[in-house]
Amino acid sequence: MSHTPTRRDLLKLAGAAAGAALSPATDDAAAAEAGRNDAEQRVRARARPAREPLIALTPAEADLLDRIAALLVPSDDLGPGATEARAVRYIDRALGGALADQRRAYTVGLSALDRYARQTRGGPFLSLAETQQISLLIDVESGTATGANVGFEGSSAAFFTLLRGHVMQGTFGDPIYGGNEGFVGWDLIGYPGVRTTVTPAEQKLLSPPTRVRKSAYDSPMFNKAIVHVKPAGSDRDAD
Amino acid sequence: MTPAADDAAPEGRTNGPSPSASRYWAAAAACPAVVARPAYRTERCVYFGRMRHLLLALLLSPVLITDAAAQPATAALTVTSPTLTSGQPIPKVHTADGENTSPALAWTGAPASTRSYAVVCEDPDVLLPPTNPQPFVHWVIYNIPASAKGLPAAIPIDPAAAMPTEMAGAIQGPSGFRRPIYRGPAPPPGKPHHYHFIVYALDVDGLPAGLTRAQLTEAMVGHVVGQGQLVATYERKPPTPGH
Repeated sequence: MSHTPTRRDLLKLAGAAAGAALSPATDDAAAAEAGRNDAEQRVRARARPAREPLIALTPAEADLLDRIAALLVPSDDLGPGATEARAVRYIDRALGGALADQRRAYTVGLSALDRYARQTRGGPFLSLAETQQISLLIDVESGTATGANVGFEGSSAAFFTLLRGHVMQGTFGDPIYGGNEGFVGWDLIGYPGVRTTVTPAEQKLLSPPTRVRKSAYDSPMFNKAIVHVKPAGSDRDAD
Repeated sequence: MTPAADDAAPEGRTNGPSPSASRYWAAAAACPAVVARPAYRTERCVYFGRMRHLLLALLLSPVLITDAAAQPATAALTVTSPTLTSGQPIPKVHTADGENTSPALAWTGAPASTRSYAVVCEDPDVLLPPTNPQPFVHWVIYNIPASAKGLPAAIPIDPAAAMPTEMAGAIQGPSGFRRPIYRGPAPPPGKPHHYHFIVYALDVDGLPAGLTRAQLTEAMVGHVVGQGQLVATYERKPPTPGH
């Protein structure tokens, strides 16, 4: 991972620091940090639209996932990242539908991750400095958090792999699944979009292909059977 | 010329050369800078003819160079730390049960020929891979300037962050966790592991970036002028039942 001061500043502005308000300010430094985090939180609320109603995740889990996704695919000088792509909305919808059998893995894994943060770094994950959060994620990724007796089922590396895979799917998948909002993920990697016809010039790549900003399922060629658990009282179509 | 029967004391003798005297003289012919050449030898040089002496020098020089003991002994460094104690458990802050930041180290006893230092942390109680067992590596850091007398604590893990001034130019190489940062003990529960913090004083600097422990070892061959280590332990308790 490469950092630039610009990216760090962006992350501070866009970072989820809500947890700082929950952790007690035991000294002046912590109070100052909480004050800064509150200001950052207000900036963040202005910068991003309000979150949609959650289907499967709890608000605390969604906050945690927001922050982890922002660290995995950050917004920087290369472009918007997982936060703008609404990767967590993808995860939420998936856990309420096609990936419902992984719901428990998230409950257990996220609570173990936060417990690991409290036991080893001295506070909830969201209250930590960015460097501490990255250091902690590295420990979860490499499996060294497994033996810390915080409740990971199996290796923490397995949970990180699951999490990272879903953040990638949410950032770079077809928008119909709830992520890749505004095609920011496809723009980030330069993917020109789904197309059902390719002109000879495009085949020869004589010039960069024109961007097709459409979901695959905007084309009548593809039909999708959506598998989801319809929440009680929902007015969503079943198709 | 009549060969001498007694060849025990070549000094001052004008008889034919003994085998040991021939070896000494052949060394002088091959490495005049290493072995001082007594003046009386020149008569023998003239007497025996140059070609035979050159052949003898070529035959014996590899043996004689090693016998000459030209390489200095490796200095013993004393390695200490404000937070690590030899043979004692490592504080949690330097492990995956804490902040997981690198410990401060200090060293003394490096020779004047030192041009850089390298530090490695490894755990020989974890040997990987099975086909070529090597200690598990927790830290690789090198190109530490010769002016450094140690390392400060909590070396940054951000690759874009600058190293502390006293170790400007130092590079971290990939560890066993495949990242170029310090990652502290995280042993499987059950028994204490031993963590060797090894400091090397090298007579070279400017090693290339991205060296693994094995590559660093290879690059250091013939350049280690000092070495020392501090060994500390760490153990994780088995999971509490019903957690």
